[in-house]
Amino acid sequence: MTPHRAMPNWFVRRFVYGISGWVTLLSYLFMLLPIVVLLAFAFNAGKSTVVWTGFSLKWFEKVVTNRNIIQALQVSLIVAVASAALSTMIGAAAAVAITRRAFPGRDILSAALAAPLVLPEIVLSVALLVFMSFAGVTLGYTTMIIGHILISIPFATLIVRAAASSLDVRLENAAADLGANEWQTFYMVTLPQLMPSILTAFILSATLSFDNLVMSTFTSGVGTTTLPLRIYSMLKLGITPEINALGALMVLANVTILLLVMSRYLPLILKTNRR
Amino acid sequence: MTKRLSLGLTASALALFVALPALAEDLRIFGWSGEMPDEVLADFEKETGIKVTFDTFDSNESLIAKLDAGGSGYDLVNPSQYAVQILAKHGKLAELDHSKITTYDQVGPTFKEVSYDPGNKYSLPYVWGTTGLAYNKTCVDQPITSWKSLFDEKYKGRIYMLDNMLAAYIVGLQVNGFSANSSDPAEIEKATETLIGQKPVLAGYNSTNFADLVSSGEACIVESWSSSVLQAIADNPDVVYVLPEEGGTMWIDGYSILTDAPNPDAAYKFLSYILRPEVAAKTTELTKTATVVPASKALLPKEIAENAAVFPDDATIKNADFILDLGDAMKLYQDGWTKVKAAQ
Repeated sequence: MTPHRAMPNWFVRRFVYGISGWVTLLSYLFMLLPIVVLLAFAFNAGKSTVVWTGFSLKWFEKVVTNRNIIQALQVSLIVAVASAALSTMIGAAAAVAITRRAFPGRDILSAALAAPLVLPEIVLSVALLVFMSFAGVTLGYTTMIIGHILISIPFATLIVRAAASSLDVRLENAAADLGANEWQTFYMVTLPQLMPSILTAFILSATLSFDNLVMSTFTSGVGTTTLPLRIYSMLKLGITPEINALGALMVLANVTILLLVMSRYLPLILKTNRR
Repeated sequence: MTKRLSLGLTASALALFVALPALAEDLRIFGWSGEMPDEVLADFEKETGIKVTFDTFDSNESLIAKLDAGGSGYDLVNPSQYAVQILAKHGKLAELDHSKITTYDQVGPTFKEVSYDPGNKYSLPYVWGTTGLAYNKTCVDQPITSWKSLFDEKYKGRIYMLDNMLAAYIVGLQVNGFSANSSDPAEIEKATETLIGQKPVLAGYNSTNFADLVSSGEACIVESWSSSVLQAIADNPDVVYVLPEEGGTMWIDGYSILTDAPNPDAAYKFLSYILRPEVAAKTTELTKTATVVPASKALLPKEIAENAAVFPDDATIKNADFILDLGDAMKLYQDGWTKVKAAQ
């Protein structure tokens, strides 16, 4: 490789650093402005999402008294918590197995767990729908939770795997040396160290499930219309500020969860990483 | 903490896996959002003690896909006219026993002989509306009466078309004098060219907030579903909805009982209930959509009963086309639509 001529210092300072700052700022604005507009029009008194006619909280009232939305929210939360719990459990177990044990088919397992990441979601969803109806399973919570696990499991595995591979093996050896059996070592030494990453995996999986539309479209059944499905079907009648108000509440909930998790676990994650 | 957390999560997950539909009398409906008011469902539950689960879908296509896979578990579904044909052909819809619909005589005579399902064999029509155009009086100099205005250079950049293949082709076909139901390759080809030629004057394809845009004056003329602009018309007297002289189209969303419905009796009770004039009137009042029950018109407030956008006159309706199942021609539409959307 031929060494290339270094750029003059002033050039780097002025343009490269300067521009990258601006690019970052503009990208953030580009991404966040629509959300700001959405939030603002949630408080619109009129029925329009384009023309501002005055301040009102009536759309929020409409959202919280809409029985369809409340029901859909309930479905979304149940599916999110259940699928995230299962996918985190499977993902964590797989991650520990892959990083700690040598067994035949390990590479295949690790590739298979990442497969849903690269397969188009719609292909996965259609395949699952066809399989479920072939197997005679009635669509509903079970099929949707299985579908959401498929979507979130690669992420759960990757997160826990990254944490597991950076663990210090000597701690486990020390525990074994001090008389802990394999289960005790896992339960008292390995698991506590993995906890922050497991919780991160759980939150991410739950968020992925909560936001999912494609997989839910194909796997939902009687009484399991999720919130994104409900919103999508509401669009047929046009966008009203009711959808904005709902969006505002969802943003609020997400930010709250994020802040709670960060204030509680961020120091812990940072500490783990520093070692 | 870890232990309790994981135990709790396992328990809740397991509880969900065994959760099955309740055994009490249930009615499961899969329908369009916004066409069946919650109040009507709640009244029905109160009167009969049947618990209603109402799930919504976003398009006829996703309804068909779900039902084709089988084992959906629904009793009643709510397909539009061409979806009735497709689903009946696939053997998904049960033949209706009209003697079990106690209020069947309330259905208007024109709706008993609809071309897509003569004699209401598979589907009981319920709500209906039209596809036409809406405009803002303040930005046009004379009343708009034709699809041709959607091609007018004068309104360049202030025209929107519905972002929906079949809806866009209504304009493309009818403006050339063809039926909106054409399956002739040459006619579809011509319509595709027409739609591509229209793109320079369009502000865009929009099927979500076009009513808003035409009300604020940002858009002058939009292709529109009747039910979507009614609220805008109520809020702003400058907004006008018309069925164009070329015809426009009419749609009907009806209810069908599935062949594998777990509880067809509850479904019949529901159908008998919603055809009562006072229930139909309530539906129209809350959703601003006309029902097939003529007797309900007398029970409605004047501003709805006399609103030509809700109840167009009979001559206008006769002139309108139905979108029917296009069979193999559907492929031609899809190819054409891809070209339209890709064109500059």
